[in-house]
Amino acid sequence: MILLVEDNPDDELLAMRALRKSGSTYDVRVARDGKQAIEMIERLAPRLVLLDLKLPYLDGHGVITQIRQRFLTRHTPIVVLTTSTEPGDVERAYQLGANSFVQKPVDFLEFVTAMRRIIEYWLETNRAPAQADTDGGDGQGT
Amino acid sequence: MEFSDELFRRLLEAAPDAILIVDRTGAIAHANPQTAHLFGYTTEEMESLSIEALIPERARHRHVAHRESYQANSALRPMGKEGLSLLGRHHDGHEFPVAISLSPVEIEGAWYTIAICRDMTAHQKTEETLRQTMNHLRQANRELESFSYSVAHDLRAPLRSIDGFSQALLEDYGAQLDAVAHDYLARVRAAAQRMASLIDDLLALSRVSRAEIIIGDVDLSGTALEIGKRLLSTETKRTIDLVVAPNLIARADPRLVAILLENLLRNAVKFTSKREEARIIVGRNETGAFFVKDNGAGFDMAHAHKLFGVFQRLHSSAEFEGTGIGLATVERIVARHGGRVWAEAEVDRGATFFFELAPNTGATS
Repeated sequence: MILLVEDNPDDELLAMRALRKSGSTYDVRVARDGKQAIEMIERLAPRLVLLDLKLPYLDGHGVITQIRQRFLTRHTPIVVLTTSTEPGDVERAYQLGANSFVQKPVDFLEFVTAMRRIIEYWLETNRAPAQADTDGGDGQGT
Repeated sequence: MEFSDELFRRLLEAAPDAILIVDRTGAIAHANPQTAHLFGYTTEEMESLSIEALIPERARHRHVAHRESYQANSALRPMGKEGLSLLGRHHDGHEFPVAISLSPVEIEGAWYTIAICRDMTAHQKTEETLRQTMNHLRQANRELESFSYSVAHDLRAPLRSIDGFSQALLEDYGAQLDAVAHDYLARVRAAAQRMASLIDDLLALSRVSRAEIIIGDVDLSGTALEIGKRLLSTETKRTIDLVVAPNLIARADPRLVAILLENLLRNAVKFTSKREEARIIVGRNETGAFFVKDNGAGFDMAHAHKLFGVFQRLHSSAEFEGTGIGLATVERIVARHGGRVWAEAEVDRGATFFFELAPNTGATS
């Protein structure tokens, strides 16, 4: 299951379309703000989180931090959706533990590329998301 | 030069500051007219007072102690950091800030102290006004920055929708649309992208207007080469010859100079796009002004006065795309450095943009 965290309905629709076109067969759920995102992540353990950085209540950076702080989700792949012409936001997201980013409006080609990168990361590090990890390592994003 | 008593007396009378001569007991031996005026007495009245009368009551005790230690340890005490910042007391009771400098003098075998006083009321008021104004400005700046950023962000959201759904329409339903429909959608996308550029440029312009300037030594040659290389790397279909004079150094804010050069070079690249062999030169002329010169489309000098206005464009969008904000940004940067920017051009013969990053004092360096 993929969790999409996005408060703008148009951006949500475009992201869903990109997911569909990229051939994803995963069930997609939507959270509309940071608090809801954390709650759904804990309850549903998504394999992938697509995260808008600008959200009400808890912003994207805060969500990333919270996800990485929790043992079960510390390796969950996070793809940041950014409108920013502020490279600093994306940089900061990487520092906090994001794995990849896609510019909004989500273009499905870009999206597929981002997904491929995530898959490579999975293969490389042999980590599947939301699995209990016993080695205690803390590989952050690429 | 011999200092006669007459000269001394004349100096005292003419001095704009209050000057008193005080004896070892604190009695005022002499006060010039300015002192009398400042403290609201006549000079005769002053000469029957002790210096403590000119100080607020609560401070007198301390002042006597200070005076006695000063007598023991006399030294020239000028105004400024080591000067004394005190309150003086007017005849009518009101208090006002004064700055005082003291120096010892021997007159006919006895030691006196010369005290020079300056009324600091106006000075303090000015300082306070300045402090408040600066606080207001800082606050206004912060609010403006946050406002601009929100506005830019809020304006971009619907643009994203327009662009995103137009593209989705083209991709998902393109086969069902005829050429005219494709054209309409392409125009919708182009317009949305154009508006996005406008927003970005306006945001950049507003930042340039508000940024704090930090002056340093700027390697203009190096910066121009770096920017030039980057711009040229995307122009693969034609030859562009970029010549940058070496050792161009300016005293300016490096970030703002980079933005300025980016804008001027981008323009040069854009307006030479129809030339087989484009030539762009960055240098300095004999009066010390820097310039960026190109052999591109140029413009009619009759319209030169419109060049640096926001949204002003001298070419149609059909000929050359652009937001018309680049030169306004250049002008803003130059103005913030106290310099100026101007251009010379001929239609179809290219243009040269000159700029100075400091007030022109006539010296070249």
